[in-house]
Amino acid sequence: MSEVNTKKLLTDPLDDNNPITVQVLGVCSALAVSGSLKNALVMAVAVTFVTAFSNLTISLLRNYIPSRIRMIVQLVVIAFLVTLVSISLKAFLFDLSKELSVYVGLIITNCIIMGRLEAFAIGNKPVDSFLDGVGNGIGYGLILVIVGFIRELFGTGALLGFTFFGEEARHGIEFLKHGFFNDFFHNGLMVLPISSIFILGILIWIQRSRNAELIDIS
Amino acid sequence: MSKFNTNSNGYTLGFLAVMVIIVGGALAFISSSLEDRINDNQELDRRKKIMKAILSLSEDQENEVLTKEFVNAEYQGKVTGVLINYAGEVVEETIPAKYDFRKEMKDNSKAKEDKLYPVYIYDDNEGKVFVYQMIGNGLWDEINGFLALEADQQTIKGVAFDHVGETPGLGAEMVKNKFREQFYGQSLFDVNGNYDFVVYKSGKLPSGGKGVDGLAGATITTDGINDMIRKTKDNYINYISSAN
Repeated sequence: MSEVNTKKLLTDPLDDNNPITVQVLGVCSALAVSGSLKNALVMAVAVTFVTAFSNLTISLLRNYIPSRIRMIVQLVVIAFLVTLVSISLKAFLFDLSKELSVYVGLIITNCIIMGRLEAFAIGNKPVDSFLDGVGNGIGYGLILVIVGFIRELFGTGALLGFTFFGEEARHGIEFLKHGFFNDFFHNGLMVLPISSIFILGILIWIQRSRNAELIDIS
Repeated sequence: MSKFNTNSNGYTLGFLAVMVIIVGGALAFISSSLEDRINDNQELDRRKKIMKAILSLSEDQENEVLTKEFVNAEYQGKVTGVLINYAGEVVEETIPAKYDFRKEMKDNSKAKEDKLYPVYIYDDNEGKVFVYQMIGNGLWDEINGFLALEADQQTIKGVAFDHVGETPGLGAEMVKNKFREQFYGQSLFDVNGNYDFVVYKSGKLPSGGKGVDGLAGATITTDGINDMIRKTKDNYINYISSAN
C-alpha cells in the first residue's frame, strides 16, 4: 500500500476535498443544524468524533469484516457511536441535548461518515483512517460553522447570545448605537433552513473560483 | 491477510452474532449506568421550569439564582403537588410517580371532565402561588410550560415555556425572558371575572392594552401559545374559581 501523506489527510478535507462543498455530502444536516453557531459547533464536534472513531474501528476490522455484510457492519458501528454521543449529551450536557433534539440521532444518516468508511477506512491503516476521519469531520464542521455564523448573525441579530443589531444591541458599546447596527432588522429568511442552500451555493462558488484544481470537477 | 475464509456463510453469521452481542451489551451497559443521571437531569429541568414560573425573575437573576442546589432545595421545601379533577376537587394529596401529564392530556378516550390535572402550590409564608401545567401545539411540534398565578388566582405571577422543535431564533424565542416577562403581573380575567387574555400576533398588541406581544416571525407558535393558555384556563377553571 502506498504511503499516504499524513498531513494531507488532515488538510485536504478542509479545502481541496471538502466533504460538503466539493464532495457535496452531508448537505442535509448542514441545512438543518446551521441555524445557530452554538448548535453548529456542537454538531461539528459530534460528527468529528463519530467519523474519527468509526473510521478507526472499521479500519481495525477491515480484514475481518465479511464483504457481503460490510455496510451493515459499518452502520452498526456508526449507530453505536452516535447513540453513545446522544446518551452522553443527555447525561452531561442536558440543555444542549434538548436544543439539538433529533439532530444528534440523525448523524447516523450523515452520508459523510459512511462515505469515508467506504472510500477510505475499508482499505487503509488505522492511524491514517483516524486522521482522515478527523480531517473530514473538521472539514464538515468548518462549513457548518461558517454557515451557522452567517445565519445566526443576520437571522437573529445575535451571536452566541450576544446581540449585535437592533434595539437590544446596546451593552454600553457606543458604535452599536448608530447607523447600520441600529437600523438593521433581523432577516427571517436566514433563520429558515432554505437560506443555507443559498449560503452553501455561494461558498461553493467562491471556493471554486479561487481554487484552480476544482474548476474541472463537476 | 486473514486466515479465515471471511466469505463463508458460517463466518458471516458468526461475525454478526458476535458483533450484535458486543454492541448490544455495551450500549445496554452504558445506557443503564447513565440512566439515573439522565432522569435526574429531566427532573431538574422540570423543577427549574416550575421555579422560573413561580419566582418570575429577570434573565440575569435566573442565571445567578437557579442553581441545581437552590432549585432542588426550594422545590422540596416549598412546593407541594396535588392532583385535581375537572370539578376542582383535590383527588390526590401528592402527585403519584406514575402520573404522566402528557399522556393524560393526549388520551382521547377520556373527556376533559374525566381527566386529572396537576397543581403545584408554592408557599413561602408570604402568600401562595399556584402553578398550572400547560401543553399545546406549536408550528412543528409540542409546546408546553407552567403558568403561575398569585394567591388571588387572577394575576399571572410568572410563566415558563418549553418546546420540542420550534424554529431557532423565531418560535424558539418563547423560552426567553424577553417574551416571558411580558406576562408577569397581568390578569387572566377582566373585572367581571371573564377570561380576558390574548397573546397577540407580533406588533398587534394595542398600545397601553392588556395582553402580550407575540413572537416576531412566529405567528403559528404565537397562536399556539395563546390557545395553550386558554386551554389551560379551561382545564383548571373550576379549581381557580373555587379557590376565590
